[in-house]
Amino acid sequence: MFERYIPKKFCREFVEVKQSSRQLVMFMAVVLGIKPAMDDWVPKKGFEALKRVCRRYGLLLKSDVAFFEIDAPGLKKSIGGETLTTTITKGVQLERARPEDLIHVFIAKTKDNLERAFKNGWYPVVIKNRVMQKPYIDLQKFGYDLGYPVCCVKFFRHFNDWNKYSHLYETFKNTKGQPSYLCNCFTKDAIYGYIYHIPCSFNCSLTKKLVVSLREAIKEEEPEFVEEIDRHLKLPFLIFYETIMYAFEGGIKDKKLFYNKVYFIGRGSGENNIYKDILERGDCLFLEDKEVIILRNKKLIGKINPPQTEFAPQTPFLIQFF
Amino acid sequence: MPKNKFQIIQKKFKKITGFYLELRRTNFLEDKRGREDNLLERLSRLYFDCPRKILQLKKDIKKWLLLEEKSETLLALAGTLAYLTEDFKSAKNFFLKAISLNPDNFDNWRDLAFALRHLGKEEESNGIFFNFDYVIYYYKYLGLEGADYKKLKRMILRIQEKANG
Repeated sequence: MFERYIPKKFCREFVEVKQSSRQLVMFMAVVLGIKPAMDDWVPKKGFEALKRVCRRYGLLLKSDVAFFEIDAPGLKKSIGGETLTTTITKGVQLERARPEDLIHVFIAKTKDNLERAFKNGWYPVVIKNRVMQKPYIDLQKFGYDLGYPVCCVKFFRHFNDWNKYSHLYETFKNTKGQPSYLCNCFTKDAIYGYIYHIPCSFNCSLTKKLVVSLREAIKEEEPEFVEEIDRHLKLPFLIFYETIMYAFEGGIKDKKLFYNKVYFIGRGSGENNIYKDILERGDCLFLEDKEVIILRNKKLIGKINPPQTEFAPQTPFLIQFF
Repeated sequence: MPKNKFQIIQKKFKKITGFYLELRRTNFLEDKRGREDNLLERLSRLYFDCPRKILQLKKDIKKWLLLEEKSETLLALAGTLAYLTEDFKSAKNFFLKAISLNPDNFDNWRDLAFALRHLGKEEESNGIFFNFDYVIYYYKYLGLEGADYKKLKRMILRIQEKANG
């Protein structure tokens, strides 16, 4: 599970050039004309090759700044560093980037869509020890540029505040009825997912509508990939925060998760995988308020009490999509 | 600006938006602080929740600027309102005027850089993003307050050229 996926044919070059399947579905969605634009990161040395791939699929590509010293210690202490959430990096102009530095790129089918995404899509990088944060309005409009549903952009506006909310938990609370795997966004950085936005609910009708057409279109080109994505999306998940998420091989019965394998699917290179050991030792877990109780052979082996921090507050929840 | 004039504007502003228009504080580079005011964010939220109010403000700011055209606060507000309504050319001009009144305020430069990005002037915009300290220094050193944009552009591009070797 969660291994790199190499398409048989459709968009295979994208994976080959990037040496990664990350954002493959988003690329497919732009190629298929379902998503207006996307942004991505590619090493400078692979930039020209990606440009050729885009041209081959009738897409336009535009570069922005390059990322340099990603997640370097101390960057969080830059001026305005407290506003940064996921990837923290220094920014450098393209001309000065080294071959291995990642270039922020925008990809779209039309010049209009490309320009709009570029203009609103500045990534908050650290320049001369100062975070260059874009205007709030650009951040919101960027959601529309990427083709996210209106209701989800609105929801993002209210709940994407890492100092107050767990956005994913708010979505969970806002979900009425059975969660649909078409609205599962947890796997977005783990290749096997159809959406890159956090939906307003896990059965958001606009998200489902969007995904149904994307899923059908990919199925025509790469049916095996769709099968794999669906399989991954229907796993049980334990979510603590956007950065700390786990998928399991197993199933939920009577609010208890019985499992035999754990996968960390949060962001980053593993520094957020803080509950790995205890989860791997267990075979069953359940929630008691905000506490995660872990059992092995029906015996208690440990509990997770997520710290109650003001920034990025962890509120664990267990979910499986159908 | 005389206090009573600003108070009248503040009152009108609050009546429309529900929050106070504070005097724009200077974000000096050496103070090492993030953004000094959150006006842009608050007005952005208002733009989504109640766009009519932004249009009302856009109308009123013209009158307010007639009362006091040399107010950094009002010029920055005018720039922000133009930015929100995607009138980036006006936004650029208002932020330039705010800069000429207070070139030490980094927030004015940052706002100008993003307006330039939206106008497709990426070289100048990046010139400010990546060399803001030199840009502020040479702007003052060369006494470009009141000069036309062409001179500023020349200066930014020259700094860019030097920085990129």
